[in-house]
Amino acid sequence: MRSPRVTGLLQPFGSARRRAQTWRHLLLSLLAAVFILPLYWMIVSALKGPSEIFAVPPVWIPSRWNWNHFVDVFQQVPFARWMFNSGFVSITVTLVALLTHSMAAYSLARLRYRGRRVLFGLIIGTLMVPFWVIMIPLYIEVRAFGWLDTYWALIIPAIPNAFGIFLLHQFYLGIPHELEEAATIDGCSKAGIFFRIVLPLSKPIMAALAVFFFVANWNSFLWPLLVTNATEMKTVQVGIAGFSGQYQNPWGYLMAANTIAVLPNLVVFLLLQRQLMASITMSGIKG
Amino acid sequence: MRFRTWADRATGYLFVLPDLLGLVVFVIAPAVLGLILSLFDWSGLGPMTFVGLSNYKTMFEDPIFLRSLGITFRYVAVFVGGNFVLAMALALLVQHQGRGIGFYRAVFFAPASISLVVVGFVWKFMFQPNGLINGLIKTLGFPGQPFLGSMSQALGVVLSLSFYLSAGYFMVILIAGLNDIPEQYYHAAMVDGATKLQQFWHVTLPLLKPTSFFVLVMSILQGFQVFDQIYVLTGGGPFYATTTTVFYAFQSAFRYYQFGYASAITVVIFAIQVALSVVLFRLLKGGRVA
Repeated sequence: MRSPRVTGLLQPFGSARRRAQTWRHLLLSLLAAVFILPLYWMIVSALKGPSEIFAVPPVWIPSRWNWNHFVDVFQQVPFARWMFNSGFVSITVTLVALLTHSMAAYSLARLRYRGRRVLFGLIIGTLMVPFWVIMIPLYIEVRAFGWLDTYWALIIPAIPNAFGIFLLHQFYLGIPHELEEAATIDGCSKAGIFFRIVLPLSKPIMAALAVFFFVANWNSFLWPLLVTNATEMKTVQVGIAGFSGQYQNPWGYLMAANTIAVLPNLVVFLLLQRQLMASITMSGIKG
Repeated sequence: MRFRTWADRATGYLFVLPDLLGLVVFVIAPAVLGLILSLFDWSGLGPMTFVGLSNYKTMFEDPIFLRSLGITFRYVAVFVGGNFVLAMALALLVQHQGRGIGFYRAVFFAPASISLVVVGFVWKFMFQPNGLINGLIKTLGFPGQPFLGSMSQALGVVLSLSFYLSAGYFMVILIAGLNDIPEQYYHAAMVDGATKLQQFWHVTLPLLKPTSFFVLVMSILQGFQVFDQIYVLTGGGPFYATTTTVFYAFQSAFRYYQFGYASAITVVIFAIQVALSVVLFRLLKGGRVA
């Protein structure tokens, strides 16, 4: 980071610097307002009465708080079930993925066996295949398994993900060999080393990945859209998107549904923002 | 290190097995299957007919496909360029710690962690003929715009949503890249009397090349991928004005039940995407960009 003192030397006029700072903060505040506006508008519209939703000039604060929309969402569609489906799928995928990815990454990074390099190349190669390339055959495959409208279809294909393996692999490469050697001398097996030493060491990166996987799966849309048809098997994203088919969109009610659907995002964001940013930064730097 | 027991030797294979199996069944096999499927005529049910390359031939006589290619390229070009400029501007504004910077970083990054479907709906709501945006425009005394109902404006609305959702994500990556540039370079430049703009051009940009490359390739991939936005906002309309090639493949498969034809479309668009990434890679390695 640049030290402020050097900048100060080359810009001798303190007031000019302060003025630049003020402009910067003004610009930042303006940008921040633009970024927050859609979320504010979503929440405030959910709370408006029908006459104020499309008023010109726009109504920024409802004259009367109207909570009916939030009640309607749970009464008119199985919204609670959709939320449960999304949560169950996201949490299960995250937990299983963390376990299998860390095992695969440890094996590829630290164990020596025949074919290891080929396997690593094969696994990392799958990173180059975007989802839409495999979307049609994957749907046909899962349909052939008889998995449509089941949790299997929502969970199992979402688990394998070379991105997680890659990040963990890079992390495991950096663990000192001495730790493993000491454990081996003490009579620990390879599996024991992994579960007792390596796994506890990787808590920070696992936390970052867990947040990333949870958010990605909670937000996932195209795949759940393809494999669910029954109303009670929809995830919250697919359920909400189903509203768009209706001719007259009941907007206040829709914004209430959106507000509820985004709550887990906001909770994760407010509590675990650091981990989320870390997982993205890692992907960027190592790329 | 030598393995002591057969159990240790087996551990290596056993540990990779679950994920490897998953990737083979749910990524590699479907990729191969898609290639095979593109040579067939199949409605998803009933008999499959081998048609050789005829799906590929049909494509180049299909006006909607050809148009979708144009729309995709326009979308990707504007998205990649605009996203880079926007993310870079945000990154430069919040790069250094200072009072309140953490708050701004969080605000810019927040949309990247929120569901696309949800934000897509909010966007659709705001861009209704009588929605917030037109409300603001009319309050200022200008005529209301059709936005999503207009063939010339709909793609722009989709793009604005994409920018809103991605800028913060790439900002985070760029901040990490910016923080890796050693201080001394800026000190040296300042001693030589370089202005802020010159510093950016001659120090920041060249040293940021690896990160920029990553950001550009990632946004090309994301640009081609665009789906949720279009599904929620426009459904590909009006009159196919926002039907990108990937969206057209989705419709061909799951609306018109032309699984073979749809697979052929994904093969072609994937080939184009790979070619673009390779060209970009060459350009940047050759040092002709930045």
